[in-house]
Amino acid sequence: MLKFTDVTYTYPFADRQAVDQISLQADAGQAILCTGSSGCGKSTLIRLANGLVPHFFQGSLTGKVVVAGTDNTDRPIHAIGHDLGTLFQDPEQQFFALNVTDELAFAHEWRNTPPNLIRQRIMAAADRFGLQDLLESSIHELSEGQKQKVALASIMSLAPHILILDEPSANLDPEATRELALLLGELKRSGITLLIVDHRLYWLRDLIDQVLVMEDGRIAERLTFQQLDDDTLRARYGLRNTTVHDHRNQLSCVTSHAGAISISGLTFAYQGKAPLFTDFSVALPKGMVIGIIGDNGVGKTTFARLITGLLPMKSGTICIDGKPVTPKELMHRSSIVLQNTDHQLHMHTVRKELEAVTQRHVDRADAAAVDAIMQEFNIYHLAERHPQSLSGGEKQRLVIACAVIRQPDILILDEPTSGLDGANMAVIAATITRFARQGACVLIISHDLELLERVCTCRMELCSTGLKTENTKE
Amino acid sequence: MTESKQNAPYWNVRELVVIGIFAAVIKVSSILVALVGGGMNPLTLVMKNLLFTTLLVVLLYKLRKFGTLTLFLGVSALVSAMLLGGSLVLIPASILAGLIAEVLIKLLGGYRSPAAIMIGVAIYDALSKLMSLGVSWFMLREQPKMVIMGAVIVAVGYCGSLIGLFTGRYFVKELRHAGIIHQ
Amino acid sequence: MQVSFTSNGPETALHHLDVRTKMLISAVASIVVILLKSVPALALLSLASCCYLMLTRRWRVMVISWLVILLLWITAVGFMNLMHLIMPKMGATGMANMLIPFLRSLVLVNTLLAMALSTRIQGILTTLRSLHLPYWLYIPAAVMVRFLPSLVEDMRQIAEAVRIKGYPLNPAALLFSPWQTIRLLFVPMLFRALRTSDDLGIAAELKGVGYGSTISRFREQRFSRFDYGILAVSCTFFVLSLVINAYSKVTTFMGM
Repeated sequence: MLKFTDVTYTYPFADRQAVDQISLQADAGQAILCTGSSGCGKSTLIRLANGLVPHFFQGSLTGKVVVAGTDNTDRPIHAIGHDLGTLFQDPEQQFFALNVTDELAFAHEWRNTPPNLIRQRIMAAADRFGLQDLLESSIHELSEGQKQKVALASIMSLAPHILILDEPSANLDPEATRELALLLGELKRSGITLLIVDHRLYWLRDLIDQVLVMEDGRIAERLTFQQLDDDTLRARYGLRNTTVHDHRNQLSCVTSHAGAISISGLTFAYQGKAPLFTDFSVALPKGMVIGIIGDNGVGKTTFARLITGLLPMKSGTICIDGKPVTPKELMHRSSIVLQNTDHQLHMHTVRKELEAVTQRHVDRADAAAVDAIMQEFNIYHLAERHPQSLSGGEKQRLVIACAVIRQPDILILDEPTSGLDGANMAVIAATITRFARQGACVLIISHDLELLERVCTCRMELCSTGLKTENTKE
Repeated sequence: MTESKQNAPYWNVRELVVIGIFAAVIKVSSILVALVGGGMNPLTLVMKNLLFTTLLVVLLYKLRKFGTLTLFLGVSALVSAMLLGGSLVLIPASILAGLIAEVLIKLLGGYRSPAAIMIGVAIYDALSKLMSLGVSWFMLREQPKMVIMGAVIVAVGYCGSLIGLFTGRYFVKELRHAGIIHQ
Repeated sequence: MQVSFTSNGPETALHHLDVRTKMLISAVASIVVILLKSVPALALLSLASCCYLMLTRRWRVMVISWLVILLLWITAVGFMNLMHLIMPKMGATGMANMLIPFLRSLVLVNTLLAMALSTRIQGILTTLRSLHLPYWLYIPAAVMVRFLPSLVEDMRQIAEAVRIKGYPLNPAALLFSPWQTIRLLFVPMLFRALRTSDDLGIAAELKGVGYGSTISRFREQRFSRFDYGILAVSCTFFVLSLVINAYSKVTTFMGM
């Protein structure tokens, strides 16, 4: 179904090969996992398979990529698309329509499929992927898991034989990840060939037939999933764990620790909506890493915005070490790292990005502090690079460095390790732990069970009625 | 590759997507400036025009192709008319101004020449503002003195456009530094 | 003024009107008002357009818009009188002459606002498809419409990130630190736009967008009886105002 023979490729303007002598084969009903640290060539592998290389990215290609019996260089991308579908990490960025039905219909329209047949295929896809209730929903109303289902339904309604998934679990919570694993299992059993590129490994145990570990553009290891359980091997290649325990509910509740940051009587509602918080009170301890957990929509991110002063409370007070703080002081003494790193980078170079922060909060650019933080986060060698030219992991380290250099009393991180490999995740985990030990209150909102397992020392669980403690009845 | 270059359409889908995204960004940027700047005042007028021209320069560097400016203007005007209440009467005027500017760019050395792009965009800005003043005259012809007010507003805006030419060049250099645009 | 594509108001009769109908009304109105010179004709059309706008039931936006137009009119009257005082050679300004341009503006604002407040962005995408535009016009227009809400959300997050870093976002910041403010807001937006266009371009290629000689249309839009009814009423008012204009003289309205 999918075959690479001695494929070597170099991007335009690049001085080294992106992939070197890659050979692999995937038959019908087989699932292959491709993993490796950032920059190893996984994304290039996807682009080679779906024809983006060489048709979109051009560059220099040797070797052969054959999809469903035809060499990719012998046909254009849209023709390859009849046999192979690609599901990207952020499905919303690839939606063309504003509602689910139109998105499912979109590719069929461009293939000039008759409208009544389009309708049949939409209904079939909706049944297969459980989208019946979402057909008239706006794409902006969907959860990440729902968006991914829509994208998957849209691709599978075109009946490809091969499905490529690029970091499919990166934005999903554990429950949605489990659902995805089941869906992919069904597709595999129906004869679809799966090529999955992902850093998170644990959810793929029962699905994968072969694992390819890439390093510096080459396939360094060909393994079974069980062989990936080897800790030494995974450490060598900077991979994540193959087994992750969900110990969120085993963490002690934040109320069992002495709180230095107290939030009292917090009340808040978005305009025209039911209140998210009503007379909510909690005391947050310093020196700990608190995992904020709860169902989707319960108010985790809103809570983070409220306690950093980004959103005004309808009522309530916040005290740090017993002294009330105004929203303006709160913004100065806290820092929040949002999920989208691109939105948080403004300057011309990495160094300037950090200097701007120190200038703003310390009234001077502290060159020594900037150098030290760059060393700590392993971005010193990137000092003169443009922040927007960095890889995902490098950007994430930079935005966290910008938050940490301010030495805030409260540090909140929203999905800091989404899409990151094991090595990057370890660096960030170590930094978070170190910063908490220095006396800050660190709060994490994350679906990354591995990160939560590594760093969290207690939890703050939100539910529809407020804070869930050991005494809260279901 | 199997596609014959002779049969390839003039616009490929990537280019059309870039034009659409830039049209959306420019529209959203002008809304943002109005929100941050506190509504309609000389400052926001300068800033709106500055951002518009800056993004236009970046677009023409990204898509160095005859017709980019005109297509962008047509798309932007069409969607603005449908969605945001823009004037339908200005659509032909805007497109005409764009066409004239593109012909000028071609005559001055084409899209490979930074100077040609900047002059072309400057001419487009001037022409489009003159044309909008012309349309205003039709609306205000019983009281032509009021067009003076319009002319002042347009002149203030054009100052922003002229600054935008240079900020556009500046950001193109930054995009090159970031590896997004290549020489 | 609320941005039209976040049209979150209650569903009204105008929401059921085809976007093409509303566009047609706006287009014809913008041409007719230019032809009209008579105060009674423009007054009739203004009244009709006010009733048309009232169908949206967005009273607050309506009142604010009309007050803004009134304020502009008063400012213009004051400005003209001041110019007459300073330069008597410019001559006095008749009230009717002052009224005509503003009645024109009122009609335009009403028709455009009615469209903006009663059109959901999804409706625009469907309308674009139904216009049977060539692909080189349809694709960028559809992309623009599709990504406007996403970019607004991106802009909100960018502004939030700027506030997190401690920078103010207000008119004073724009006045005293314009370059910094532009950099803070604009650079992330620009890079985001470029990344989005790359991602979407890739998705379009993979979905085969732009390669078919014909495309089918899953949703077909048709004019309803309500559309024909509103068009008929609009035409009546347009024709009536043109007739009144033809038989009216320009008169001094308040005897100034």
